[in-house]
Amino acid sequence: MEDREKLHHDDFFDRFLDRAVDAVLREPPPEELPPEQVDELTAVVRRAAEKPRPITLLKRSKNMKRIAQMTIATTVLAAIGIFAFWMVSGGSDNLAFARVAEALDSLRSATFDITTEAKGENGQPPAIATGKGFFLAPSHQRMEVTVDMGYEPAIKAAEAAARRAKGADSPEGKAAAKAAAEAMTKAVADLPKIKFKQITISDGQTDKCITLTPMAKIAKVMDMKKMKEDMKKAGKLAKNAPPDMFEMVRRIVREGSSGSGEKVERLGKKEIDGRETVGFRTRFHGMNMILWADPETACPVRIESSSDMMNGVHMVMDNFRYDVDLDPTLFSLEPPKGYSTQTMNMKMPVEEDLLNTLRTIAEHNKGKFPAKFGMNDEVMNALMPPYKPVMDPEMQAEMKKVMEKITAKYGGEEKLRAKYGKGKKLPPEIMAEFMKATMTLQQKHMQKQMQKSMKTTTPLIRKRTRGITFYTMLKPENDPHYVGGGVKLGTPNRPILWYKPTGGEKYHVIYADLSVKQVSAEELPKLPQAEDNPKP
Amino acid sequence: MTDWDAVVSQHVEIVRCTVHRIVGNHADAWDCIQETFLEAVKVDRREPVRNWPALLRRLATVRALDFVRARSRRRGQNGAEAELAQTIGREPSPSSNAEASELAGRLRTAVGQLPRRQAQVFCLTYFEQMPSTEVAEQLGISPTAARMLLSRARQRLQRFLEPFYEAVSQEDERT
Repeated sequence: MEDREKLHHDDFFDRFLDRAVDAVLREPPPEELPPEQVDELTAVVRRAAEKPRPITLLKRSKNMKRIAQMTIATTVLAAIGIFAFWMVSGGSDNLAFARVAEALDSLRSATFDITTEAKGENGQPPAIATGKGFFLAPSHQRMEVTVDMGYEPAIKAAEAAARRAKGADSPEGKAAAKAAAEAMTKAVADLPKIKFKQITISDGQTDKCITLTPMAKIAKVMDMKKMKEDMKKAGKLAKNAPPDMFEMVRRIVREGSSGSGEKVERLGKKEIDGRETVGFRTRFHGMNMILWADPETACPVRIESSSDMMNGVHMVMDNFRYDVDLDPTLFSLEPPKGYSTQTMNMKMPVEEDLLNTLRTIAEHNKGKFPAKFGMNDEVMNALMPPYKPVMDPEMQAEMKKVMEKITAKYGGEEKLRAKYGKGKKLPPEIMAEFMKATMTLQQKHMQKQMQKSMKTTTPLIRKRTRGITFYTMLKPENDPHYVGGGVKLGTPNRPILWYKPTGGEKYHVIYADLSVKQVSAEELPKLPQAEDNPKP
Repeated sequence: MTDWDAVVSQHVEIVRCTVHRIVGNHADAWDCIQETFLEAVKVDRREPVRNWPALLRRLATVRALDFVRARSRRRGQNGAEAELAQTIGREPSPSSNAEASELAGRLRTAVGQLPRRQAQVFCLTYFEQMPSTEVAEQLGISPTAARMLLSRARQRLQRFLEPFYEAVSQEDERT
């Protein structure tokens, strides 16, 4: 009886709501806007569209997504002490390069330069990270990666503002733009360069790793023992995995030179920095590697690598120096003094992580799955939480004082307004002075800002990217395929990804509603994209 | 480079009607229209716009709802509830036009009381007649989430409007 009453009640409400909505929709339309009001609106909108985008240091910090992408890319590509090596199976035992083996066996230490370039998407310039790598036998490694945040955006913004103020194509506009750019370049010349640096130190024997971010004074301590054990249990750990990069290189050279390795392609000879080198190309777990080595010692001279998971990211390691004296404290796994520490016990990601990552990406990507599943801009934009810089009250007060000081120097605000009108008409040298003061302050407060932001975002990003790690760890025999590009989350009966779990007989097919079905190879979906977009 | 003259002239009517449906005849509707287009400038800078009408309807809905909610806040929660109670307590007008207008006013006031996301989904679905998939796409959520928010919005509206529609239904049954 109660149910019937409720139904009756709901039915009345539905009818009432229909009537009310109908009443709103049928209301006589408002009076048309007079043409002069439309003109006024158009002018306001046009002015807003033409206004140069203010690019301040804080706003540039939004580039954190790109910086994160670069540092992650470099760390993964270098794969130093990280799981990728554990999965590379041992090479042939054919010792055609006996001398090589001897040379590398006695390797005590090495240093090398790193350059990572990420292709700019959506008209952005490429992002470049540079760094240095250190190796100390038997298994200590250190990678320092630096992304130069530069002042170019501020210079360009000042240039554009001056050009617009005087007329975009006029000779006055061009002269004003040149003067503004010069003034800004001069103003920032004595400011220290802003660089985002990340240091990763690992020890292949203890399976420990520490990542330091000096700008935010944050140390992330990672224990990968558990992950390694999980990988071993899941059959993902290679039996005789190389303990470090140099051992891996040695195996590649060995296989390539003896012709025993099916996966190693010989590239012939090439002169690099006045030295003759021999080249090999190899591929494992979606990583492409070109190696140029000294034919006498098999020591790497240049290593180029890229990953299918990080489309458009390319890393080069060169300028190798061997058997140099290195301070053992460089490889300390203890967090430095004054750093706040985050401890992470790395666990092997599972299928549920993959489902969670796919859901998060789609939910933050207008309900659609990405064109490609990997660490590309589309995925990173969806996975990275929005960066919302909040101006510190202390900084705000300091900023006010500094601005007042500069204004007073030119006779006070009233006088400046009367003489130049709005800010954009200020002479470039005064404009540059204001911007320099702003930047100095922002730089001073950046550590606090980043510390605050990284404390909350790092665990979130790690959680959200576990699904990508899961997918990266699948081997060719897992036969993984991603075919979800542009498919809407929740679309029924639409497969987006499938793979065959290690040791399993059936494939796991993941659908757009994130349900999972187990099917035999014969029952796999027949989608045209499946052939075009497999994960290698 | 976006031709803003064309965007404004071709879509100003869409924006105006969307704002009007939520705000009603209010002098501040003009501010909502302006802010909608200024927000569109920002969106256009971030990413290329593929569907101007849908984007502008979404932005206008969000802007208009923000305005209605800010108005409620200015009056205070009690003020908004009192306004709703007052409109509910009124006798339905004999004139069908006046009755429709009153119904529309009551619905607007109640929608202004909904949580932000629920109100957005409700307005895009009912006032802008968007299918749930488009609502989801515009708000960057999944269709399931959109449907869930709509269901919650309806439940809340039912609670807000209960005294009034019960009176209306009794009146209907009598006639």
